[in-house]
Amino acid sequence: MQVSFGRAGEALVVSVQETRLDAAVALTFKDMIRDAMELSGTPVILDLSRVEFLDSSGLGAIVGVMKLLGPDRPLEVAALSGSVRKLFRLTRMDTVFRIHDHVPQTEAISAAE
Amino acid sequence: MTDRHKVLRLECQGKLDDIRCTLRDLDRYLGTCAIPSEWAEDLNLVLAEVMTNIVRHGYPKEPGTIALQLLQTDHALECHIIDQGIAFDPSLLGQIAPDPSELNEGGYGWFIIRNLTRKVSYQHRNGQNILCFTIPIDASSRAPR
Repeated sequence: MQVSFGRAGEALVVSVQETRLDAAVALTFKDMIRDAMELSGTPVILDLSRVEFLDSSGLGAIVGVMKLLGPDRPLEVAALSGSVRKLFRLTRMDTVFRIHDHVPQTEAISAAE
Repeated sequence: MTDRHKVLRLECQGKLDDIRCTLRDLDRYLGTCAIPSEWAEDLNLVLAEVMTNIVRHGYPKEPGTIALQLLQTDHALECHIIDQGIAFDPSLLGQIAPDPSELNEGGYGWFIIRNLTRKVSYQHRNGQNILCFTIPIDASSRAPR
């Protein structure tokens, strides 16, 4: 499980570097975001462009991350594949998350930051 | 599975990492078959939900075996999922849509299974849980909910 972090203006962009965000990696994903909570930036945009498969455990972890971030740092999602978008629609999570069609232009955050 | 009425049998250990590998392999295999990708995606999601439930609730202490049998017919895929874990009653699960505003981190699995499948049946026989359902291949045969 890998994620990378970048900036797009004021926003923090979190890019999931996995094709499957499923039950096997959901907890690790949530822990990795928790460990990166000190990185500033709002909103937090979750780049799902590489994710081809999301199950309810992965979705639950995304909801968990939203709750970790709290009301002052909204979590938004970007670049959903067809099946990922379908799961958001089926569970009506598309009414909870702002969904971007594309990931905004992002600058990498250096390790020293 | 391009041949109709051909059965695909798979078996894996009831561990989340094994399920991930098995379903990734299945996805790759289905990609080589002449079937709609939306259908393969639904199948992968439903199997992930069912198998994750077996790991979490059926085999809470020690992982056991999960066996899959997939049979393609003209308009649907028949799935049988067999395990030797704790028996359960699915009849009341997933009947009510979760309220997204409650921001629950779980409780979506059976709602997803019910929405993407038809003819769900369950029996506990000779110490085995046998869950069966079909996934319609033709999208127009899917009843709206």
